[in-house]
Amino acid sequence: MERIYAFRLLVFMTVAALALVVIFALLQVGYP
Amino acid sequence: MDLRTKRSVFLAVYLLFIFGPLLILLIGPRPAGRELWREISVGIGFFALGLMGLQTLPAGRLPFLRDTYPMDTIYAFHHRISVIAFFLALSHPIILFINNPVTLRLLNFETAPWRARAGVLGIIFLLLLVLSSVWRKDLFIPYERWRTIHDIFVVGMLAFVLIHIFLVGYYTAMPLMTAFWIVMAVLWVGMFLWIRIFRPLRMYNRPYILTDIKQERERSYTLTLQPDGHEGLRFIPGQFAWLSFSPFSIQENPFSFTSSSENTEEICFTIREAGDFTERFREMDTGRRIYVDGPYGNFSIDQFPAPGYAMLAGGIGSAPFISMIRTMIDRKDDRPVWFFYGNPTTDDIIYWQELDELKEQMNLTVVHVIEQPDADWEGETGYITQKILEKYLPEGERNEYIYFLCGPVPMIDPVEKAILKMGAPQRNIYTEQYDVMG
Repeated sequence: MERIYAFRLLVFMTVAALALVVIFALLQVGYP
Repeated sequence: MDLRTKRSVFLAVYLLFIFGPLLILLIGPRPAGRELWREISVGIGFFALGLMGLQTLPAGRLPFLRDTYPMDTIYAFHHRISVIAFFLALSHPIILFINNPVTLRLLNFETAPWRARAGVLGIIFLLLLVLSSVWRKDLFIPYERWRTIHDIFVVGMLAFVLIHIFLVGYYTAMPLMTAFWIVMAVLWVGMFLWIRIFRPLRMYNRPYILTDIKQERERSYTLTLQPDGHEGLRFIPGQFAWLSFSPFSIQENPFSFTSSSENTEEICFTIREAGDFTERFREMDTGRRIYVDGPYGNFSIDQFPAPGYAMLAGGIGSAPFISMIRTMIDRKDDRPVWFFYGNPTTDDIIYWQELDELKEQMNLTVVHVIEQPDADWEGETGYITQKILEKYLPEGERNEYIYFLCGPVPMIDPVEKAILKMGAPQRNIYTEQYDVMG
């Protein structure tokens, strides 16, 4: 059961981090 | 602290560290922005380093984490996250090169500044780290040697990447960011000291004496150990420990306790010969010192209370269940237990006779499932299937039971599917793959 949670956590972490990276980059270049 | 709280606290701290650099980038005062893709590349780079840097934490066998997560899940998580971190780390320079091809000249080692050289060296160490781990067996690297080179690559990679980010100094000029990476560096050094010095010293001061070796089957033995000059350790049934001949040696293997956790005088482990290290046990004399690092794991009836248990084992995977069964007998626990035990032939069944005796002392049903039975075998044959499970487990109650599976990977997956098809919920199934760590 834990293996399924671990896999979900991994996907969540990666997607959330990439989203944060894009938000950060957009803010940095003065968007919006 | 109960399991749920412990897990939540650990997860919160872990995620805080993983997302730390990104949160600092988002909330902190920062230098003026550059091009969009350059910023994306830098953000990805910081995240990849955070991911890799925190790998040391779950793999370091920390005392407060030892019963929080199953070790095989931690290692599986470690493998996957490392591969993700590798591709993210690699995408950091690739995006920079595509965004501004002039930066390709930074790859020229002779003319490049040290900030770029350190970055390239960091990536090379990371590449070696991933290649030597993913293809260890294909590259014929022995496990013990691999652990040494793994350490070297980790230290090299982290050192060069730290040099890289501080020499670039764009975002690390922010005091909060500098503080974060100093904390991370202290954490890495601390983990290294814990793994290579403090933990071995602790083990050195708590040796065990081998008091008995009992042959179970042709290639399996039960070792009995007694603490030498200390009070020993307490474990919960189903946990395991790492055994070694020297606390400073990297030659160590994990084995499940097979004795009752109520027995505080001595501890037992059943091992099956698989390679040089395990074969050494056979030649050993009683009286020699053995070092025990543990207990670890949360694969236990004590962690997951239920009205009854179904234990499903393949081969040497029976070891944690023997401990659970012996403990239940000592505690006069009369909850029903079904023990499904799969083996290639009847000659491979460990504890056969003992299981027959244990049946008389508690509410235990043992179902042997033999792959290639002799002509006179009257029990179940083939593999542990849904049909076999439904034949024995009472229909009204079986969805309330907790299912523990322990064995090699090819056994775990089909048996887990069979349990799910029978209608038992996923949350009631716990697995331990014993060959993940080897």
